Amino acid sequence: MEKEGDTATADESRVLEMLQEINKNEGYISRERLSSISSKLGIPLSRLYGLVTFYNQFNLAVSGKYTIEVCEGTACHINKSSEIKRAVNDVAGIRVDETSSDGLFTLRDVRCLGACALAPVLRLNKKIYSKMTYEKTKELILKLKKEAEAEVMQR
Amino acid sequence: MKHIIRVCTCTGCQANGSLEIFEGLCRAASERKKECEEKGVEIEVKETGCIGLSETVPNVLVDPSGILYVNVNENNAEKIVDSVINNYVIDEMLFEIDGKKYGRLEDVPFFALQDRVLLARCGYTTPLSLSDYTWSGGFEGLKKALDMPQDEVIEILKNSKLRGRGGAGFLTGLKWGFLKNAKGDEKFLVCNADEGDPGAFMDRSLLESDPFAVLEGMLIGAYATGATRGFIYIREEYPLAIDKIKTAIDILRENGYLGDNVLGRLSFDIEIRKGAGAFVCGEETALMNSVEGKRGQPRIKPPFPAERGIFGKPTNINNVKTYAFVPLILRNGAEWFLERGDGKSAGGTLLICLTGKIRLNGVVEVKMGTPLRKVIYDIGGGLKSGKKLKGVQTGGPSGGCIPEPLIDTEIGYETMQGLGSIIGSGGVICIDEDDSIIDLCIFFLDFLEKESCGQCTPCREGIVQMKDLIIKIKERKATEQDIATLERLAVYVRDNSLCGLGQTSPNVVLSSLKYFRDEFERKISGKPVFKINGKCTGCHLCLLKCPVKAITGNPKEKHEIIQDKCIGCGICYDVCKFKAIDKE
Repeated sequence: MEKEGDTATADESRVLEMLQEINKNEGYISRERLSSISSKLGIPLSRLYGLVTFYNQFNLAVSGKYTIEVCEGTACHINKSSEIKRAVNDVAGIRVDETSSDGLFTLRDVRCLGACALAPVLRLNKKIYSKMTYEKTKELILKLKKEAEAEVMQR
Repeated sequence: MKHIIRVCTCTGCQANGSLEIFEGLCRAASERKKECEEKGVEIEVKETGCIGLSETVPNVLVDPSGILYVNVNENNAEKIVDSVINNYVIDEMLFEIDGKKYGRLEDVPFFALQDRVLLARCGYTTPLSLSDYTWSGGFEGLKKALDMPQDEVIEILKNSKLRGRGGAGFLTGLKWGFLKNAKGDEKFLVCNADEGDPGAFMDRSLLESDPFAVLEGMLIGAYATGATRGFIYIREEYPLAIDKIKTAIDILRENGYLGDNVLGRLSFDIEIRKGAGAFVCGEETALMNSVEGKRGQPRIKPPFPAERGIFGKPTNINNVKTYAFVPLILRNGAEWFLERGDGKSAGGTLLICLTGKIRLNGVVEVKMGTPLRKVIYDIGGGLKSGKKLKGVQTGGPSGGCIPEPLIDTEIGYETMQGLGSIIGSGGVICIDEDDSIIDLCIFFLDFLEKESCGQCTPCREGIVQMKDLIIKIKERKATEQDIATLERLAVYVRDNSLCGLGQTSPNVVLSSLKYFRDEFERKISGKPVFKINGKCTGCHLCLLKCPVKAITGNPKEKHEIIQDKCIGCGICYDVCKFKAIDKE
């Protein structure tokens, strides 16, 4: 158990913020990034690794182009968020914490998004999609697939 | 005459296109400006916070007529503007329930039966407008407080019986007294906005809709306790709330309400710290570690935060709602607040998030001591699809399940605890007869297993073992002995875990065993499991003969056995003429 309080300095306390920035801008946190923060702030790499694995927010691997976050709050759960996952699995062939082989989709569980009245919900590119069903999810993913294909064709 | 069209732009409404509606309304209003001038009508379109009726988002409110339009979409914008100019009501966009339509928001039972004081601004003021805030009584509380000695502010809070709205229900006045009396050159005030309970979103709603109220509460706290630095610890999952509170802090700084010289009386500033997706950080000592940039693992108490908190300095932590109540108490007095309480141990109203199988999902505010039944049936409109209510799950993963026969209970800290649950942060999730209590237990234990910080053994190992035992029961592999073991283990985890997460984790198990024991016992092995196979012709015979109505299906289609209801009597197996039922 870590001793409380007084050992932490104000600078060290900003480390989570730095990690959050990297996670946001780069989509994940690489080992190189961790090493550089470690030497910059003088925090052992092991402690940083402890941080990024403790908090759910951080990704340690590259994610797909679209990250589909399925809310696993209680209201979403009893309103069948499992149907969303089933649709993602059927169309994109991935389960939770997997990335599709075409690099397009990553599926993640997320703890309550606070949109319980719209349950079940998923979040994609910061937008919340409300009252999702198997069919609606399937449509959404197929649409994104088509868009991505069209983009490739244009190039 | 001036009319204001208010569009809710909270997370829920935005998810359903309220920003597009807002733009549409602005466009429509400006296109018809000339006509307005000719008719002497002035239209202003304003953003507002959440009115709480999340079921019918996006909602639009017209003032001064008070008309509420629900389930609005972008294409309705021109029509709404037209209705204001030509003074009529759009019938098909009104709120409707049980065959009755309601024009004015205040007549809708969902609102009429509430006691809205904390939510009073939500839906009426523009969240980030400082003038709206001051106009609606903002900073009156702060100014009153600054004219009193610190101790008097704390005394008023004690008299008001304001109890922590994060769940623990500790008297806020006492807590503030501890911080004021703590020795130290620097003291911290923290707002816990790490609303991690699945099924509760009122803190998000409040931060998005009335951010200045939370900040004013913190300012009063800073004055009363002598704190010089404040933190708001807010979930990363709430990007809109983070944006709003960030802007609100900037606005207050620009206007002299935050910084070295607040109204010439105190020095106080607030920083935002974002949570990174760990439920346990809602526990105050875990939160402190997280603010320090560490893993969010709870600390052993004592020392309590008021003695040694963040960076070892005296610290006070309150929930979002607790802070937001403070300006109201200072403004209106302790008596006023007490009147809105249960008349006994707790003052003030309670915010509840109604979700699950309820007809009208949303955030509601009622007096402490209101019966659950009133909240669910009179305000929430009962259940969707007319199914029977099985019970309500309150307090998130730390709470328990209250069965339908007990929903006449008045909501209060002690009453809910007496039933083996808690108010917690105020989430009320309704479940119906189709929902399995056993599955719900597994769901919560799974959640807690993932969210346990892993530091103390009873919680880390106990939760997994409880989950495994319940899965064993679900799979009909358990014995009578396993239920006894489960019960003993639950009590052990409750009594021996380090922090609130572990101590309350067995609530869901214990309350379920108390009220829904038959569901567990039905699964105890010895009785065979029956399943319907492909030979089923949908003749309906088994369905008619089943003594517990555990079989469903349409005529001439394959039927199913609802395993949670099945008592394993085997009558279906005996009556089936097509060998369509397998016995395992």
